[in-house]
Amino acid sequence: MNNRMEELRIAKGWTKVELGDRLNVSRQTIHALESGRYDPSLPLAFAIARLFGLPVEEIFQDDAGAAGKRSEGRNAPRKGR
Amino acid sequence: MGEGRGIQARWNRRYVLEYGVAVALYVLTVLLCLPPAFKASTLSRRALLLMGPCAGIVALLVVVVRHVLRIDEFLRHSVIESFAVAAAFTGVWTLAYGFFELVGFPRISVWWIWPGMALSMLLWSGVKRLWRL
Repeated sequence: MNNRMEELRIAKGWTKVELGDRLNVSRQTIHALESGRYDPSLPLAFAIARLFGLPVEEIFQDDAGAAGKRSEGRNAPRKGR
Repeated sequence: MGEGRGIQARWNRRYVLEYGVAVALYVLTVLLCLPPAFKASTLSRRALLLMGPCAGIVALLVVVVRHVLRIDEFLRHSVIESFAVAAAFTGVWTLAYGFFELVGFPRISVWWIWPGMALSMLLWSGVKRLWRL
């Protein structure tokens, strides 16, 4: 699963420790989430979404889903002119 | 911000504090209960006095469980994973060494399981870092 956590955290000007404190998780957990080594539970994903004020799907993207959407885009019939 | 701040540092400080209290309780009960246990006249009194240090051991158990329940989901996942791998690894080497004992290798105490598990956990954390698992 891909996510935009690092980009959003940097935009807010927070360190990993500060973000961790806001979410009640450790700096190690933030690092694992940002590097894609760990996928959060649903409650944590929703807490992250609430904190950044965005829907979950705007922060987390499923690899398979994203690939599927890309291939759908390629294979979709083109609209006639 | 450094490592010494943040929620993780608070969890660690709390864990060290609670662990220290439990170890102190264990040492105190050993010092208070062991000498009279050797002098006690009946077996039941000796057994009762030897139950004293168990309070410290139970306190240690409670401290470890409290810590595992306190930490966040990723850390808990890591702790449980390394414990499971260490238990599996320990099972393998103890079973394998059992065969060596059959052919004359020295018999080793069951207490070696604990350092073996600790070593396995360390090895696993090294493997995870090395291969970025």
